[in-house]
Amino acid sequence: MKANLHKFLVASLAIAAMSTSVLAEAEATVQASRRGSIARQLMLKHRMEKIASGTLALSLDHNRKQWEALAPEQREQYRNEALAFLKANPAQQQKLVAHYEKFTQISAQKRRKYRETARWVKAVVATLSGAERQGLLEMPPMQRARFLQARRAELIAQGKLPPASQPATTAPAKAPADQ
Amino acid sequence: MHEKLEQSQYEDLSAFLDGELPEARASEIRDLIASDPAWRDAHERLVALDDALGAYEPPAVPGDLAERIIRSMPQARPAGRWATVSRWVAPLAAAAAIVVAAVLLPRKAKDAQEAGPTVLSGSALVDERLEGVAERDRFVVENLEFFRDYDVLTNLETIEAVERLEAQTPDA
Repeated sequence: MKANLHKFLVASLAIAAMSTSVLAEAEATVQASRRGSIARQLMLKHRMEKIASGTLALSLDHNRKQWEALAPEQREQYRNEALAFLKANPAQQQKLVAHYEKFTQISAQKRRKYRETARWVKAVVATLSGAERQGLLEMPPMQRARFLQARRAELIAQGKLPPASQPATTAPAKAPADQ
Repeated sequence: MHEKLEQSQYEDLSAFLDGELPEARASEIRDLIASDPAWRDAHERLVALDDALGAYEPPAVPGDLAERIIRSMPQARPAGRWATVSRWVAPLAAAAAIVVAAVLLPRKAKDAQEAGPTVLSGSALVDERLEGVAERDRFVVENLEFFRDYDVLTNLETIEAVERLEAQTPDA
């Protein structure tokens, strides 16, 4: 009896010790999958809204058609964005979903304007060095906006960006996300 | 064991009969057997037992005894390595079960608590409408509006700030 008890305790300790590294690794996996799970939970909320409004089937059909019409590189870009979203921390995911809700509630005209602004912001950021981009991330939004406007004006003056009324053609790069 | 002898005394008596004691102690035992009724009685019992055992002749062992024993125990556990391993596997398995239960069950309960109540997900409809779309792409396709405007969403605060600036300086 004593021998069995001793064996049991030794085995428990051995497994607990061996489990430490395994659990640490498992914890990282759990964290990653939990992030993805939270993102899916957030998206599920939107799905539920569409179910409630009876528009889910229509929305899926519409999206599918659009997806099938996309160029392969455009699809790849969306895949990468989805991956970035799933990998983002839960707070950032929630923030992006909140942004989406806000964005969908503004007028169609304002949405077009925001998309246009996003395009030139992306084009301007593409011309910045790594250090400049890092500095941009650390600025408050208004200061960042002033900096980007100033840089955009310089690039337009140099002929590297089209005037404000025309769409930007500079090769796009990933703009730094809002902090 | 004789009721009047101690365990050690009985062992000494047994050793005396086997001729294993030093002569000095053997001499003492002989004196005790001669003078002490308890020692004498114990001695007589042991000698009788010894005689009985000596007179016993065991039957001859059949040549196929081992084979018959093995055949009669078809469900017995294999001996050797498995017996050695199994002595450790049982406690290891029990220990593993405890560790797993201690670590995972609270986590599972916590996750379930965080996840909130299960909701009808509409997955069947999504599967039906997106049949033929690669599994890895379904999340993107279902949420295409979100990812189409991902640049706006990731920079919304900046864009709003730009809008405010432009509103302050309409000629910008």
